[in-house]
Amino acid sequence: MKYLQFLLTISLVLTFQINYAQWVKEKGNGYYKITAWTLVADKHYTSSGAIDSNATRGNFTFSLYGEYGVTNKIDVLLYFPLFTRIYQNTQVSKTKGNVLQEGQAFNAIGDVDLGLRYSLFKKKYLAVSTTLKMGLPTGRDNAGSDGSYQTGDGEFNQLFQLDIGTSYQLYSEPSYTKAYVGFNNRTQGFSDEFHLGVETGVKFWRKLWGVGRLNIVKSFSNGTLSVQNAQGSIFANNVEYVSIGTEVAYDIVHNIGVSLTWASAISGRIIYANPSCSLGVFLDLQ
Amino acid sequence: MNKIMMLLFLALSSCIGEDIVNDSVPEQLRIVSNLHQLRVGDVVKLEASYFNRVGEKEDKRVLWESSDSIVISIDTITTSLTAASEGIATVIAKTSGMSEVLSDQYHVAVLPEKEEVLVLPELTKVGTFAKVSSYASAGDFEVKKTSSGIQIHLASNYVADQSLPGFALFLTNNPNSLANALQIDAYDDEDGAHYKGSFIYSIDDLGLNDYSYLVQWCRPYSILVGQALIIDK
Repeated sequence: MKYLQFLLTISLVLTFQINYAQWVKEKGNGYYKITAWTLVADKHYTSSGAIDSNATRGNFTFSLYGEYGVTNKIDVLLYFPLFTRIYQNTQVSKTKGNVLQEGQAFNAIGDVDLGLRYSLFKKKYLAVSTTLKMGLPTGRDNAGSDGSYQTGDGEFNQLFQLDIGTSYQLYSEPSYTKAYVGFNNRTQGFSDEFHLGVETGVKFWRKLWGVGRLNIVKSFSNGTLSVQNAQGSIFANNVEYVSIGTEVAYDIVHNIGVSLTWASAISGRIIYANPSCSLGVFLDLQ
Repeated sequence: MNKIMMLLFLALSSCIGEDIVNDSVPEQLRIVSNLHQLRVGDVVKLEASYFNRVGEKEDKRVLWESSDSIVISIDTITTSLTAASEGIATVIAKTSGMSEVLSDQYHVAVLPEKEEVLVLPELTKVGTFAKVSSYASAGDFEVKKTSSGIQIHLASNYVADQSLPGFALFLTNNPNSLANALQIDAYDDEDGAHYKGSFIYSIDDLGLNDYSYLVQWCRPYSILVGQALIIDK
């Protein structure tokens, strides 16, 4: 199965989505972030939604993310996973202490996402925008001794989203809530997907953001790729999940801050069942 | 400071660690050469294999006994059995395990010299898959001795989970580990893997008693999903 694919999916959804504001940046403004993201998993949701164990696998991704306002209505978005490391633990016998299966690791860049956000409507407290994000197959879809250490899914996909957000005061603190719905058109035999998400945040003491997220991905199961016809590839199709996440972002100095995120799938199919976390440094140029 | 934190985060997050696998199985002594019908005067070589706590074959001194030395006699030096006279007797093999004496036995019928030796069901073993995870695994099979090795006949009710990534089928003496296992089918074979219904695998240079389990694994992620104990029919 494409465990990497769902790892990447989480990475994209949870990391990329951190900066998926429905408010466009406006011309000349930008938001940039470097992130170290990690997931170590010894269990997964199976195709039936149950949880089973697996050999411990890890994914570490170091990425660059940027949003830039090219006009007052259009932002350019870029997610660039500069370094992705996939590894599996060495399997050691409890009985004799010898190595049963050597651990393995593979390093490469991941799949790049390039996007555009267009502001449809923006008033004081309400913003509506659309986003087109294209997933480029720049990662390795066959890596390691058995091909399962992929850093990319090998397909070009287009995620189209409608985003809506509102800002308000919560106990006199700046706050926001935003939501999105999206359709992900996938190629190379992968099933298309429905995306849905909601996020809310509160800024405390003018420096500290606390954010909560809920993201849902549902497969249309209309793809042709399966473990039988994947010609040995184990890249997963029909990944589904409901994930929750939280983020804390702190403004250290003007425009520069650090963020810490945590996220986990609370239900799913063909996806890891362990949480992920990331540490990031951002630059917000308004 | 931020760079140091980032590097520390990076270092701690991406190192290959160790998974400790509980791969213990009971020790076993298994008689390999179990001819159940002989004619008076036949002499056969006795063979038994000892499998340790992880299902690995090890050399061990084996003691042989006959329940009736008039029917079958055993030369403990050459470890050969002689069918001495008509009747039925039990061949017993013993060896010392780590904490107890291990044994195995089989019955031998000695027939008159000119009587035809039948092909007995003892030359066939059977098993039934039981799922050990949430992935589907079920079905019966038979293991039959052939002139060159063995054949595994999967029954029509055989099921392997078609959503299982990296599916592989193994013969093994330890269902908890793929060390020393023999792969007989896999997703990355030229003809792919077989997932459902009847099928026959022919394997040369293998004895009927060489392995005691047939197991289904997700090979890349080391997940045991189904196992079957191979037993006498």
